[in-house]
Amino acid sequence: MRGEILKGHLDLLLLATVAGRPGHGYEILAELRRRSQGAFALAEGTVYPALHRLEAAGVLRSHWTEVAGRRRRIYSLTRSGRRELATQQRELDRFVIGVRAVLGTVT
Amino acid sequence: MTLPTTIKAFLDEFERALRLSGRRRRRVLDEARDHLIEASQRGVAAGMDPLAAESAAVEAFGDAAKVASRFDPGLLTRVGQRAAGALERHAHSRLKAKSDGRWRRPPWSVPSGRIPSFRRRLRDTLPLSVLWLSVIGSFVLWSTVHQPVADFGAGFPAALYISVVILYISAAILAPAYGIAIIISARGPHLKPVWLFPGIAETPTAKVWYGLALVIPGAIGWGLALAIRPTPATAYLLALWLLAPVSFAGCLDIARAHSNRSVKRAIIAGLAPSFYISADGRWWWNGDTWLSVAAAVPEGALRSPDGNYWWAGSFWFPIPPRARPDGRLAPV
Repeated sequence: MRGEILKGHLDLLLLATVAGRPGHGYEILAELRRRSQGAFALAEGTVYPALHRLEAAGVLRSHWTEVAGRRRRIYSLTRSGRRELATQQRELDRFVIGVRAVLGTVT
Repeated sequence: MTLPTTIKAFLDEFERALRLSGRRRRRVLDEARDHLIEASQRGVAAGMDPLAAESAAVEAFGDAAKVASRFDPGLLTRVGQRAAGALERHAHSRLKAKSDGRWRRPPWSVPSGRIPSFRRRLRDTLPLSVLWLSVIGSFVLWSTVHQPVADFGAGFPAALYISVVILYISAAILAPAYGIAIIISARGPHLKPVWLFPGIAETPTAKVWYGLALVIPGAIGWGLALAIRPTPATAYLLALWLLAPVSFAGCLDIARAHSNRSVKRAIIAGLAPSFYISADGRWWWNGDTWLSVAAAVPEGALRSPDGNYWWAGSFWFPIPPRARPDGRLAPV
């Protein structure tokens, strides 16, 4: 999928992935890849700025754990994150319905 | 551009490209390190060669500079970076090469004695220190023996009270102002000679000593005055008292990081290369032809301590990459 399409929905995808299970960056990415069946090709590092942005917005929270002597940041959804996820899902549903309706008239 | 293939090389490049500071910087680096190690270990577990797994993890992570640029540095850091950029441009503008295209020494004047001796520095700054000590010492003595500062509003003349506060405020403003002047002139030529304070313009060290002569006796004097006669306003005066030395020390630290010490020292030691550079600063003459400063480095050019830049007489240029036999790019 083209980068610009993905970019507009990355926050929603990350929120949805973290909502399923809290995890660290690599885990979130692997889960995203698994659930999307590899549809999204994105540079793995770009997930972290997005996670940081979402945390700054208050929809994610995180804490450190230590695994094999390495510090690892675990992300989870906040209460306002769940509300935000629901809102974004509704908006996306409306958007998809609208796009499909337009495309339906074309074909 | 260099393409790192190992986690360590990638993290080094990533760290250089990050515009974050402090705890956020450490956090991003720790997360990136954890991610890359995890990805690499999974690659090995899947049967990949360790080096290939490391390389694949780095490649999948994305371009270090691009990823680093996506982190929001935050308002304070952005403002700080802009201020540092403005200072940098100012410093560079003072070091422009002359228009005839020949590489020249930047316009720093290094006295014949080069590094001044301690005795000379002391001689330069002693008159100012004595002056300040006598002014402040007189005040401390007077306030102790005659009228305690504690009696503000109870017989202490209002005009004198105001003048004391003005003195505090002046010291609190003068010290950082002088510190900022040191930062601004850290890469440029010395200040013009001032007849009142002979020696101030001789060396960068003299500038610093004059500043210290201004701040230290003042800080000691005001500190003593506050300790001997605490007043209801002591807390506020203490803040003003601290502002001068703390801000001056901060300015010195910035100036030290900002000054071109390695370049200056190389020039003083006669290590600066001599080669021709075009008037627009974009080309240098290798004896046969003009070469772009962005494409090749003259032999013997002065390099920055981190090895990533070379000094072209006007600016620091990134050291251009060159092709390795395997087609990858490597630094020169």
